[in-house]
Amino acid sequence: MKQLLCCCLLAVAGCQAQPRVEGSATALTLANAHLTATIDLARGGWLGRLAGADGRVYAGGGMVYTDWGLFTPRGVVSSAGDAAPKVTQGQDGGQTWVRVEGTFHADAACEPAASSVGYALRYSLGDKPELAVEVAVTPTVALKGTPAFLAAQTQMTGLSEWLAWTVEGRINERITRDGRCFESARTPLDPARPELELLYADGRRLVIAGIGAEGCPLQNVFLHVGTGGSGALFVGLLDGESPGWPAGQTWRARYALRLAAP
Amino acid sequence: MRTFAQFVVLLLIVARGVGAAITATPMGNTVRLTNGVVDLRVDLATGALCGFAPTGQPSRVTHSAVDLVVEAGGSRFSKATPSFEAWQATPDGLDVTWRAAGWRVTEHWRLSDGSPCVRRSVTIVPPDDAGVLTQVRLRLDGLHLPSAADASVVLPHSFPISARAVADNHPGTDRSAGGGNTNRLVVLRSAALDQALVVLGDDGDDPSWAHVTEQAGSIDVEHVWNAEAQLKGGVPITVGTQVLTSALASTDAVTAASWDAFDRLGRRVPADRRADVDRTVVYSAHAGGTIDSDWRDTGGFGAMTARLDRIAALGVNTLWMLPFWKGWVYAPVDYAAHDDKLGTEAQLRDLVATAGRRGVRVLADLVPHGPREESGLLAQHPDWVSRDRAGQPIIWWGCLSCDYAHPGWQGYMADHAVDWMKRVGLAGYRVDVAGGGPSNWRPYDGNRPSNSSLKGSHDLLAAVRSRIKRQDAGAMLIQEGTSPQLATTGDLIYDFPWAYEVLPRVLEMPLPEWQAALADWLAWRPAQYPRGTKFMRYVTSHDTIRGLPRYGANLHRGLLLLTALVDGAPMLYDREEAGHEFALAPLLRARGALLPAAGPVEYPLAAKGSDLLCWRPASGRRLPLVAINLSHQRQQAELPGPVAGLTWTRLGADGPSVARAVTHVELQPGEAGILTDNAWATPTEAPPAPPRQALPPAGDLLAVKAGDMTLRVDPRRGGAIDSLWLGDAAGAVRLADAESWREGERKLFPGTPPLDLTAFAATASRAGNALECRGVVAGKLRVTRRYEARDGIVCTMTLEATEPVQGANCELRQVLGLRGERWRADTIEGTLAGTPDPTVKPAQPREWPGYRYRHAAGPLWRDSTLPLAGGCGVQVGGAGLMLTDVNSALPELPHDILLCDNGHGADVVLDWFTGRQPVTLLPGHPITLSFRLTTGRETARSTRLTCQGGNWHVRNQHFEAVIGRSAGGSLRELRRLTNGTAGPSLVAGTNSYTDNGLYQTWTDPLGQQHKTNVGSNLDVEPDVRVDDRAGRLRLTFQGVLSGDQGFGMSIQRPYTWYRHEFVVDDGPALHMKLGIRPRAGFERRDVAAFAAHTLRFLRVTNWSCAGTDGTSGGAMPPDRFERLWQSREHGGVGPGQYKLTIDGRQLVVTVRAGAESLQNAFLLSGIDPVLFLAHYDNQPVPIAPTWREVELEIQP
Repeated sequence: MKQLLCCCLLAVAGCQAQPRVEGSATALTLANAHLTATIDLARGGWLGRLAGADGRVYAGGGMVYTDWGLFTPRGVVSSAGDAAPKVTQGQDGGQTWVRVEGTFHADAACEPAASSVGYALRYSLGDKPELAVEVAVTPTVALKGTPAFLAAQTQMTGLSEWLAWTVEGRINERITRDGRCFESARTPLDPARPELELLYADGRRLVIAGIGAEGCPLQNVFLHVGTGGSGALFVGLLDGESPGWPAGQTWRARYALRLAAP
Repeated sequence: MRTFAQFVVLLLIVARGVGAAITATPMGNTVRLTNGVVDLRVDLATGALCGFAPTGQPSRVTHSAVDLVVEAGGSRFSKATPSFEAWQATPDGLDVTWRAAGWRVTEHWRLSDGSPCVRRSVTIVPPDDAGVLTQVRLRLDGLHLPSAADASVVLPHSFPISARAVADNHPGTDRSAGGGNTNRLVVLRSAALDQALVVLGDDGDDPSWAHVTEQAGSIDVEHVWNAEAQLKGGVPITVGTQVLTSALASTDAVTAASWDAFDRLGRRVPADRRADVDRTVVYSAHAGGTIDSDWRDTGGFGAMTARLDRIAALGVNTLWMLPFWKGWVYAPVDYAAHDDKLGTEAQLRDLVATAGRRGVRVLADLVPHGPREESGLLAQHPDWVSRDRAGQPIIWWGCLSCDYAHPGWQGYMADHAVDWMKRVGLAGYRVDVAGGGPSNWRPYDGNRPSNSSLKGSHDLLAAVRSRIKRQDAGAMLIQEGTSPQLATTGDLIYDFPWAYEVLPRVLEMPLPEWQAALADWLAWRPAQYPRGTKFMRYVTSHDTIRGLPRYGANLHRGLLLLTALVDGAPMLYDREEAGHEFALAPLLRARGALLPAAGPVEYPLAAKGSDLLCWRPASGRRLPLVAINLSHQRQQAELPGPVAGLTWTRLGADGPSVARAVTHVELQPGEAGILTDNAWATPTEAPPAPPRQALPPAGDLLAVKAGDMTLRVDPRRGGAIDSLWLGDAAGAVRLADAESWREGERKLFPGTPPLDLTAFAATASRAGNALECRGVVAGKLRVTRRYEARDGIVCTMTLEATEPVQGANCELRQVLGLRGERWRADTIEGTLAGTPDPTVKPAQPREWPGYRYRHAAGPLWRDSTLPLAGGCGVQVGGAGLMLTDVNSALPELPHDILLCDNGHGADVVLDWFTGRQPVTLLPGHPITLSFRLTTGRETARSTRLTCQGGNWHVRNQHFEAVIGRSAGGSLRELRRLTNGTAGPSLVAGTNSYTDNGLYQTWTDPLGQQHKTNVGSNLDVEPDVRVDDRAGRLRLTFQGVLSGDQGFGMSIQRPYTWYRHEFVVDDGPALHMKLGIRPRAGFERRDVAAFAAHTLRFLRVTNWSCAGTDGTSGGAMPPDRFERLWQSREHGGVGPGQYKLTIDGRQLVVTVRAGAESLQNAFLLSGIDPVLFLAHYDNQPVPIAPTWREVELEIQP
C-alpha cells in the first residue's frame, strides 16, 4: 500500500503549477503557492502543520476524538493512535485532495472496542490559500450514551484575538482568559456565514469558513484558549446530549482553513 | 376467635389511673368503645367501624376500610370480603382482628380520658412471602354532620385553602388532602350547628398522603402510608396513625382539637427549645458567595467576618452558613474537614467568635443525606449506604444516599455535629433534607425500607439534638422540611409553602382575594402542627430564585416586611436586604419587643375599602396593628378604634417615619404601617454631610457649573469627567470621581486593543453654557463630548467611526464613580435604596455559568430588568446626585444601566453597547449618547403604565391588561373597560414554551425521567424595554425559556430565546408580537419538535376559527380537551382569525403577520380553552437558531 502511495505521489509531484502532494511514509505535504499542509500519518493523518508561503505556522496537531459518553470507561478514544492509516489522493477539477482512513484507538481497553469506529479525513487544496477539511466518522456498532463529547480538534499557537460571525452579529474579542472563549452552543454561528477568524499576535489571520456538518448534530463549535496564545478549535459534533448513533451511519463535519492577509 | 368472655363480660378498664373509664361493650352485632366523650361502634361481622360520634349523638361515619397495595399485585382487599375474627379490649381501647384474602389484620382503636380523639393504626400479617408491600391505606367512609345543611369540607394544606360545601359534592370526585410536607388534615364543619369532624394522618414511620372522595352528602377520607417492606409470611407490620376527633366549628376550636391529637400522639415540640425562638432573625449565606455566582463572588471566611457588622446591624441574630465542608456545598467529601478555598479553620473560628461578640450565633449546615462517593464511606461503612432493589448503592443529590434509620449513621452525624461545635464554636445547625432519604432495600436490622425516610430522620435528628444540647444548652436546630414530625426535634421548621406557593400567588391572584386567602391560610396554619410549632419563613433562599427580580422593588419589600411581621422567624438570603435595608433593619431590630407572644390574630381586612392587608392581636390591647400595602397604588385607610395617644410608624424605602397616630392613614406601595403604644423606631434622618473642602485648584481642568454643581472635565483625557462637586469655591463636597469609558472584551475593531475613549487629548471650545471637547481615539473613532448646563448638566457623547463597522457586537462601558452615604434607584417598580458596603468587592459584570440566572448578582440594580422611572445615584447630607434621561440615538440598540456598590457610594455603569446586539457605525453617521446629572428627583416614565411589583398594568379607554414582567411578559389579565370600570379578565395567561424535540428528558435525583418543559412564563429576569412616545406604549420582554427541573426554576441551556412585545395605543385592540429563537444544534438535521405560543381564555361559550378554506365554529365543550380546529387541516396557516364568545361578547384574535412561520395553529377545548400558535408542531424540519415571530391583535 505504501508503495502504491509513493507512486502516486511521484506522479503528481512533477507538476508545480497545480497543488502538489509530496511526502514520506510518515508525513505528506499538500501545498500550493500560498500554503503548505503537512499531514501527520504517524498521528492518524491529522493536519500536523499548516504554514503560509513564508513558512510561518498557523495551525498543527489535533485529532478527532471522544473522551466521554460514547465509550466506557471514560478515556480518550481518537484518531491519533492510528499510526498507519490508509491514504489515497487524487484531483477533482482544480482541487487536489488527499484522503486518510483509519480507525479509532484508545489509551486503554474500552467498551465497545475503539476500533469499532472508523474515520476518514479529506484534505483538498486548489490554487487559493484555503485548505478544505472534511472529517467523517462511522461506527460499526451503535453508540449510545448521553451526555457525550465528540469533536475534531485543531491546535494553534500565537493567537491574540478571535472573531465569530453569529446570529447576533460579529463578535470580536481579545484573548485574555483561559478556557472556552467562544461557543456556538451559547451564541450560534450565523447560518448564512458560519465562520470564525483567528488573529495572531503578529497580525496574520486564519479564517475557519464554511463550518458545517452533514448527517449529524453540530452541537458546539468552540475555541479553547490560553492566555499565552495557545489554543484549539473544536468542531464539536457532540457536546452534551447525544441523539444516539446507529451503526454504519456516517457523521461528517466540514470546514475550510483560509489564510488571510493582515 | 371469639371467646365466651368477649360475648358476656363487660370489660371495664380504668386507664392510667386518671379516673375516666374507657369501656368496650358488645352490643348486638357490634362492639361499643367509649370514654364517655365519644362512642365508637365496630361491626362484628366485618370488623369495620360502623359508628363514631360524641356520646349520645348520631353517628358521623358509616364505614371504615383497610387496603394494602403489594407490588405487581395491586390492591389486596378491594375485592375481598373481610371476615371478623376477634376483638380484644385494651387498657385504652380496642383491637379488632379480621381476615381477608389470607391476610390477618388487626386494627387498633385507641381513646384517651376526656378527649374526643380516636387514634387508629393497623397491624398486618401476610399469609406468606407475598412480595413487596408498597402502601397501607386506612379509609373512613361516609363522614358527615347529621342535619347540617351548611356543612363544608376544609383542606388546609393548600393555598388558597380549599373550603367547599358538601352540598356541592360531585360523587366520586377525588381531591388531595396533602402529602409529604403537610399533615393531611381534613375538617368537616358546620357553622350553623357549631360542630366539626376532624381527621388527620400522623407522619408515623413512613411517608404518607391523603385524599378525599366526595359522596352525596358526605365524604370519604383515606390516609395512605407508603410503607415499603419485603413481606414475610407471619411477620407483622404495624402502620399508622389516623386520627378522628370532634370539635366545635371555629378554627380555634379545630386547632385545639388538632393540638390535643398531636399531644396524644406524642408529637410535641422539644421541651429544651430555646425560649427566644420567636425572636430569631436568620441570615443565610455561603462564605464563598451567592448561588447566583456559583459560590465565588465573595471571599471566604475573612470576607464574611468583615460583613458581620452590617449583618448584625440589620437585626440579625442567627447566621446560617451554607455548607463549608470539604467538597462542593451540598455534596461533601469529608465531613471532618472544611473547604480550604474558604480560608483556614482559625479564620472560621474567628468568624464565629466575632459574630458572637455582635450578638449573632452561627449555625452550620448539617448534610445527613450523605457524602460524595470519593469520601470512601461506601468502603468503610457499606451498611450505612442505602441500596436499591438490586442491592446497588443509591446515588441521591449526587451523593451516596445514607440511611437515616441506621444507628451508625445517626451516631456519625451526631459526632460530626458536636465535633464542629467544639472546634469552632458553632451554636447549632440548619439540617439539610431533614425529612429523610429514599427507601433502603438493605435496611438495618428490624427496620423496613421506607423507615429511611421519616422514622429515620426523626431518630437521627433526635440523636443530633440530644448530643448538641449536651454540648451547648442553647444550641438550636432548624429543620429543612415542613413535615409536622420535624417540629418535635427542631427549634424551627421550614414553611416551604410560604416561599413556594403563598407568596408567588400574589402575582397571579387579585390582591383582595390573595389577602383574604393569606389571612385564612395563616389562621389555619397552627392546626396542622403540634402545639407551639415555630416556622422559619423567607421570600428567598439559595434554593429559590431571587425575590427582587420576581416581585420587583416595592412588592419585594412589602413581602419581606410581611414575612418579618408574622409569627415565627424571618430569614434573609445573602444580600437580599440590598435596596430595602432602611425599612427592614429598624423592624428586625425591634421585632422581638414589638410583636406580641404568639396567639390568635384577627385579620380584619377592614381598611374601609382599601387594599391594605391588616391584622392585630385578637385580644388584650390589640396592638400592634399592622397594615401593609402590597398594591401598586397609594392606599388610604381608616384605622379601627380610638388612636389617640398611639404612634403610627411607616416603613418605606427611605426608612421609618414616626408620627402621632391619626385615624386616616396612607401607605405607599411596598410600605408597612404599624400602630403601637409607643414609638419604637427612630425616624430616618439624612446622613450627616461630610465636611466640605475648598475646591482644589483646577489646573488644566475645565469646569461647567449648574446651580451648586461644578463639573470638572479633563481635556487631556478626551474631555472626560474628572470630578463633580456640590457647593462653591468656599466649600464643596466631591460627589463623583474621574470616569472611565472603554470597550470591553467585545470590540468594534479587530486587531486593536480595546479602545479607551479617554486616551486622547481633546480640543476644547465653549459656546454659551456648553463646553465641547473633540478628538480621535486610536484613529478609529471621532469623539465629541459636550456638557451643557441645562436643568442640571446634560452630558452628551457623539461617536463617529472613521472606517465602517458593520454589525459588530461590542461592549462599550462608561463608569461614573459616585461618592455618597446612600445609593438610590427610582425604578418603575419602586425605589431601591441602601448604604454602600465597604467590604464589597467590585461587581463582576460578566455572566456566571450558573443555572438560575442570566444576570450576575453583582449589581445592586440594573435597568434592563427593572427600568428606571426617574434617576439613580447617590445621596449626601440630604442632597443627592442623580443620573437621569439616559438616551441613545440608536433606538434599536438598547443600552443598560447598572448600579454597583463601590464601597463608598455607587458606580453608575452605562453599558451603551451591551455586547449582545450588532452595532453598525459608518463614517458620516455619528451616534449620540447622553444623560443628565441633576440634584433633583424625577419620576413617572409612562402615564399608561403602573406596576404592582412584577405585574405591569397598562390601560387605555377600552381595556386594561396586566402583563407579568417577572413571568416573561405573560399576558396575565385582559379586561374590558365599561365607563372606566374593569370587568372580569378574559384571559388567564400566555406562554411561549417547548416540551418536545428541542431538549432531552431530564432525570430527577431518584432516577425518574421527565420531559423537559420550559417556557417563558418561568423567566423572572427578562430584558425589558419601555418605550412610551407618540401616543403608543411599547413594552418588550426578551429572555430565555426556563423550567422547573426539581430544583426550583432554572434557565434551560442551550438558550432558546423568546421575545414578547405589546403595543397599546388609543385603539380598541392590544397588539402583540410573539417570537422565539430556538437553540442551536438542529440546523442540519430534521427535528420533530413542539414550540408554541399559547393564549388561555376564560369563560368561553362559543368559538369560530377562520382559515384559508373558510370558517368553522360551535359551542365550546368545557369537559374535554381536544384540538377543535387546526390550521393545517384547513388550508394551512393563513392570516387566521379566532373569535371567542366570552360573557356574551366576542373577543377577536387576528393574526396580522408571521403566519408563514407557523407549522400549525389550533384551538384546544376545555374549561379554559387555549389558542396555540405553534412554530413547530412535530413536523420534522431543520431548526435554525433564528427568530420566528408572529404578530397578533386582540380586540377584547
